[in-house]
Amino acid sequence: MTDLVDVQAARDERKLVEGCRRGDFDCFERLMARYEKKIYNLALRMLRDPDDAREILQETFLKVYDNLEKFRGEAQLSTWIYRIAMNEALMRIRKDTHRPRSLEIVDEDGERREIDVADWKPRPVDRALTKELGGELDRAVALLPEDYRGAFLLRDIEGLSNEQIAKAMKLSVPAVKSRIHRARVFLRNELATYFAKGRRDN
Amino acid sequence: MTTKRVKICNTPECRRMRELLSDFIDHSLHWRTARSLETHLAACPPCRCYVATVERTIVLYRERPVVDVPVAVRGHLRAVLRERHESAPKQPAGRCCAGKAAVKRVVPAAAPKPRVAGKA
Repeated sequence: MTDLVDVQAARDERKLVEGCRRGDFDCFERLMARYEKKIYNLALRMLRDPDDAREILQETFLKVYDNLEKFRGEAQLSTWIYRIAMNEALMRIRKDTHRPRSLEIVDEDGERREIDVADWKPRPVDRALTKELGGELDRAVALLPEDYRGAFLLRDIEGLSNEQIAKAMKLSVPAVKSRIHRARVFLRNELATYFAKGRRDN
Repeated sequence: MTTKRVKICNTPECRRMRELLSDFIDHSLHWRTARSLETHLAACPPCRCYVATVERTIVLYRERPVVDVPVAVRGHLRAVLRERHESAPKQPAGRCCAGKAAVKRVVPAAAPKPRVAGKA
């Protein structure tokens, strides 16, 4: 069933692209409506700044508009759009010399070997804790080097495959896999530290 | 949340588990490798706990709220693109580069940003 839905969605998207190429602006607006929320949230998570996010959103769709003719369909349209957006986000992060440097990720079997494993059992609905935990997670994601953050977001939030991420970020598939793996372990360790601190404080 | 301390283990099987962790979570391992890791997990509570907490981390982050694009931003984006479209009415999307410089920016040329603690 999902496959059928995917096939239909891809067909609809092809029609929209054809419409855009014929100069039908309504088709372009419908295409934007499909992706703008995803791109805006991706940019917010990459840069944590609404002004940066809206600039990235605008630059992305201007580039999509200008270059749609060059899009040949070898990659999926979504991968192509993510590639433009991710490139804009990475350029912006690297250009901003005032941005605090992200952490260097250490090998999981290096310095972190002695970290305890915490078993996190959620309490029944605890909104305050969920909010605090969310903030902690946002902080931890922001500490990731930008290409690790990008690979993690494209994989675990946007649901792209490793191959799609490799195309979107101009990395090899093994490099993508390594970044996702280390990002996940880093975030997990940050949360473990947070929970361990909470336990000591109680 | 309650936490329980379990010391991380360091046997060759545990190291292999941690090495293949992401592929295991993503179900991208050969079935035989996946089965051998599942066998290890069944016998190794610390590794089981470790895998569960990595998975939980991903789930917790996925649960972060998704925000709507502000109405003003959506409106401006459409206005900017429509302006570009109309600046070259005979050119379909993908062939239009005229009037690029004339397009309004959402935010004027950015001034250097102050250093803000906690900002990525």
